[in-house]
Amino acid sequence: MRRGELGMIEAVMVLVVFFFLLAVGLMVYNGLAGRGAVQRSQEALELRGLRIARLAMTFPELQCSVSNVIQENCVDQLKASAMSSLLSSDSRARQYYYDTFQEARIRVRQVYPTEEEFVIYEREPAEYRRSEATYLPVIVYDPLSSGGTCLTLHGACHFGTLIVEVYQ
Amino acid sequence: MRRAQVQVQFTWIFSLFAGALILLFFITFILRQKDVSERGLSAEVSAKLDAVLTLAQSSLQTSNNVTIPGDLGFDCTGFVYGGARRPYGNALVFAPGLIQGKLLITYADGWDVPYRASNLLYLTSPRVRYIFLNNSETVHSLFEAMPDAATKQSVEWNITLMASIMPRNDDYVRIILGASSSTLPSYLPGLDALSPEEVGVLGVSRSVSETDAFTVTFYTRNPGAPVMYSPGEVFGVVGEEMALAAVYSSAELFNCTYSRALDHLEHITAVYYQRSRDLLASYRGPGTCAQLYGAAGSSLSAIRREAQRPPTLMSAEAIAANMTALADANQRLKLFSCPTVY
Repeated sequence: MRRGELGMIEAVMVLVVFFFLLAVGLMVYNGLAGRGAVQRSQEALELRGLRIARLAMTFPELQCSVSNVIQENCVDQLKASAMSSLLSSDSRARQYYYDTFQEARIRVRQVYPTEEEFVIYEREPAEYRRSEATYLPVIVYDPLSSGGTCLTLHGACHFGTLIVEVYQ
Repeated sequence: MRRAQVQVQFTWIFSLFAGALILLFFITFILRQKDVSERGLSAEVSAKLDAVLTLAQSSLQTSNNVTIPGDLGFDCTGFVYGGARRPYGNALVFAPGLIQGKLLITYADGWDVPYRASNLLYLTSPRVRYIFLNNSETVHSLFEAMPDAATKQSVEWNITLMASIMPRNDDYVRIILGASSSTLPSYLPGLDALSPEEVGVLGVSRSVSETDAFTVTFYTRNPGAPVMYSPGEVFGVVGEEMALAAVYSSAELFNCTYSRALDHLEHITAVYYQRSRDLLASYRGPGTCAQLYGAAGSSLSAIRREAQRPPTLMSAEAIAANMTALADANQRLKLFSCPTVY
């Protein structure tokens, strides 16, 4: 082999090694970036759950009130049941609330004095990779229970949890 | 040409080609990373702003100054920052189409009809100036309802005083007056130099039936025409909070957001209607309360029906009249120690 040809092969080999190292570097970078993206999407899912839970807690459709005086962290059982039947019977209402809650499941689980659970909103995607649940302790107000008071409201207070599940 | 010479030329061409390829690779990589990073930053800022707006929406009757990184554009269902659009679901946000500068003023209030239908979020900037021409009780009341952090001023309905209103370095000037076309300010010569994009007039008047219904009229500017402002879109709205919402919005944004507010009113009224029926069905006490639940149910049904109609003054008045009847029934339920409807 002549000296010039040797020089050429040497230059090509340098380039091959350079691009090989570049490709390895890019693969490592993409791997790390991918892991970061998964973590970010997990965080985003958790945040979405919290956001929806917070929204649900401030929704007048669910909140307990007397003459517009709002009771914080309290779900009115009658309103929740009315909303649940509205969403199951009215497609326009279902579409309307989808803009707020999107693909999620919102339910109230009463744990004391009796155990009971009612689903307020449910829109589960056909396929999802994972779901995330957010739990918020709430008072479940029953206005039909006679003879007692719940905070400042006529009726009875029960204890429960608002559960919001979001999907990805 | 000798073989050695050809080889030297080939080496040079080969080096140039390889160098250009490497350079191209790095330039593409850097540009792509820059684009990804900018989009990521816009999305991150939008997410933070969204969180701020969600929080502001639940802090009623509290004004907050929020520092923003740049101009924010608003439409009916979302906001845009740096090319990234973020929808705000069913939140009812009233704002000018564009907020420029570094400061955003947020203020939220409940929309009570008479039950809480929704929370309204008002957004503006110190660079938007509100001039209330004080020719009615309603205008005065709206001036008082607007937070002090906003750039607002009240001017008496006096030709000399109105003529002294001059443009400042504002992005936009909104004039609010007790509406009636005969009282339209052709007396604002100081603002003649402003373009239709820089100034707008809103007329607000309470219904003659003295209920909680209002007419809001967005006047459009006709530069060079004998009548400087002519009535544009007119809406019948329910509640002073909604009349205040019109002060903050452009006609287009108000039209769309108020329609969404009526959609929400329809659905939440269905919830209250069902609740009143459940209360009536299970009530075993004195007959007076049962009658009151029945009356409340009729009012709620009427409100729901009217909320489905276009936003005219007639439908707003019908809603307002039923609001009064419902508030009365609710008050009496409270007096009789029965569970209230709202």
